[in-house]
Amino acid sequence: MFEVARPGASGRSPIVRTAVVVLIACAASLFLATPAQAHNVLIGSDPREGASLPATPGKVTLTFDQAVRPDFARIAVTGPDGAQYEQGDVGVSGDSVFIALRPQGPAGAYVVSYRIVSNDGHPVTGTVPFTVGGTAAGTPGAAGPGTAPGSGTHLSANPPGLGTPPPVAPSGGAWVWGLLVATGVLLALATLGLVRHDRRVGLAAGGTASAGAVSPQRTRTANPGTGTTGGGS
Amino acid sequence: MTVAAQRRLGGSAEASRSRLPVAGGIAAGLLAVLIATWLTRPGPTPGIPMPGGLVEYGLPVSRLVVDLAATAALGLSLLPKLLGFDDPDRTEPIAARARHWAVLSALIWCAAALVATVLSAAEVQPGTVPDVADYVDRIGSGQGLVVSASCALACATVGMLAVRFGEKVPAELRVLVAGFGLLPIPVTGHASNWYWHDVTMVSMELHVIGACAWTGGLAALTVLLVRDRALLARALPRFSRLATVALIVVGLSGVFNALVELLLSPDRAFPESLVTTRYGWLVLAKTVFVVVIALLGANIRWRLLPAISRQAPTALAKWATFEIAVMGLAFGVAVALTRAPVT
Repeated sequence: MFEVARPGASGRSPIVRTAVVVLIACAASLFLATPAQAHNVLIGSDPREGASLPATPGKVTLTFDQAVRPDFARIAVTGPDGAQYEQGDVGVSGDSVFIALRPQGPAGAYVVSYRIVSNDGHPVTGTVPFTVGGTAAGTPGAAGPGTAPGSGTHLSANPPGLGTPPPVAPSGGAWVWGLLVATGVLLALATLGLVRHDRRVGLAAGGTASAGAVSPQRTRTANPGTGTTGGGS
Repeated sequence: MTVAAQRRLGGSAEASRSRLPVAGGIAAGLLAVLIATWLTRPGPTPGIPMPGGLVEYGLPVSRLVVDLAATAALGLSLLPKLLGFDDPDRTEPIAARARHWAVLSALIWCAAALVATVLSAAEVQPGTVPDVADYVDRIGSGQGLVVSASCALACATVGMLAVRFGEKVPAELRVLVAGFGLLPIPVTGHASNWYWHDVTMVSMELHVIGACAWTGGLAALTVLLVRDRALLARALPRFSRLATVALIVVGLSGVFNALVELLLSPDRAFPESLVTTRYGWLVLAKTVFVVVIALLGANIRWRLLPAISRQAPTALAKWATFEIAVMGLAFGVAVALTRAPVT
C-alpha cells in the first residue's frame, strides 16, 4: 500500500511541493509587505513648468500624486547666474514638498531640481524650469527687509549640507559598518570552510565521473594548498 | 604525470563547457541590466549632487547578483526533488555537488544583498559617506534587503547542515528557506501601486518565485545533469511540468503587474505609454523575452523530450544554454524595471 503510493507521490511531488511553497509565500507576503509601495510621480508645481513670472516667488511647491516621505528630500533652485536661490529646509505637507526662496533674484531662467525618496524607496528626480522676467520692482517692498539679509547670511553657511535632514549620531553608522564588516568576514570564513570541505571530499566540479581516481590525488594536493591559504589569511 | 595532467585538462574543459549556461546567463543579465539602466537613467538636476557612476551602475548590478544568486540557490535546492530519492547511488554524487553550489550561491546572495544595501543608502545620500543604519531605519526597501540577506544567511546555514549530513536534511526545508528569502526582494522594488497594493504584492511574489524556480531549476539541470542521460530522462519530465506551471504564473503575474503600473500612472495615457515611455519599452522587451523563452521551452518539451526519455543523444545543452541566456536578459531587464519610473 505504502509502496504503491510512493511512486505516484514522487512523480507529482515537485509541483505539489512548489505549490505549497508558493502558498506559504503568499501568506507570508501579506505579513512582509510594507504599507506603502509606490512610485511618486510629480503631477503639479507652483510655479508651473515653463511659467513666466514677474518676480521671484516666495517659495516653490512641488505636488506629487501621493504622500511624500520627508526622508532625504532635496530641492534646489538654480538661478540664471548659476547661484542657488533656495533657503532653509525642505518642508513636506501631505503630497507636496516646498522650500522658501531668496527674494530679489535676477531676471532670467530658473531651474527647480528635486530628488525625493519615493514611497517604494527609490529616488525620484526631476527638474521644473520657469523664468522670471520684466520688472522686479514690486518685490523689495513685499519681502520684509529684515528677513532678507539674515536669511542670506544663513544661506551662505547652508549650501554644503543643503536641506539635508538633521544629522544622525555617527555612532549608529559606525555600529552598522562594524556589523557589515563582521558579516563579510563571516561570509569569507564560510566560503573558505566550504572550499576546504570541498577539496577534502574530492567533490570539485567535474570530478564525479572519475571520483574514485581523482579523489586520492586531490586530497594529497589539498593539504599543502589549504596550508598556504591558512598561512596567507 | 602527463596522464593526470591530460585528465585534469579534459576534466576542466568538460567542466567549463557544462558551466557555459551559467556564464551565458550571467553575461546576458549584466548586458541587459547595464543597457536598461543607461536607458532609464535620470536627467541632470542642477544644484543637487547625483550619485556617482559606481552607485548608479553598481546598484543595479548588485541587485542582479542578488537575484541570480537567489535563483541559483533555489534551483539547486529544488534539484534533489527533481532527481527523486529512489536511486541514491546514482543521484548522490550530483546531489552532493548541488548542495555545495547551493551554499556558495547563498553566501554570494547574502554578500550581494549587503552590498546592495550600502549602495542604496549611498544612492539617496550622494556626496557623503552613506549612513546605512539611518537608511535601513527609514526606508522599507533597505529593510527588505537586510531581511533578504538574513534569509540568505539562514539558507547558507541550512545548506551547510545539508553538506555535512547529506540528504537527511530534508530538501523541502531547503526549498522553503530559499523561497522565503526571495519574498523580501519584491518589497525592494516598486511595480506595485498604492491602490491595488495587496493584490499586486501577491502577484509580484508569485512572479519572483515562479521565475526563480523556473530559471534556477533549468540552470541546475543543465549544469549538473546534462551528461547523465539516465538521470536526465527521469528529472527532465518532472521539471517540464514545473516549467509549464511557472510559465503560466510568471506570464500572467508579469502582465498584470506591468498593466497596473502603466494604467495607474497619473500623467501617461495607457496604450501610448507602452511605446512612449522607457518603462513601456522595458515591458515590451520583457514580453518578447518571455515569448522566446516559451518557444525555446516548447522546443525542448515537444521536440527533445521524447528523445531524452529514450536516453538518446540530443542537443539539449545547446538549447538550454540559449534559453538560460534569454532568461538572463529577462532578469537584467527586470532589475531595471523595478527601479524605472513610468516616464
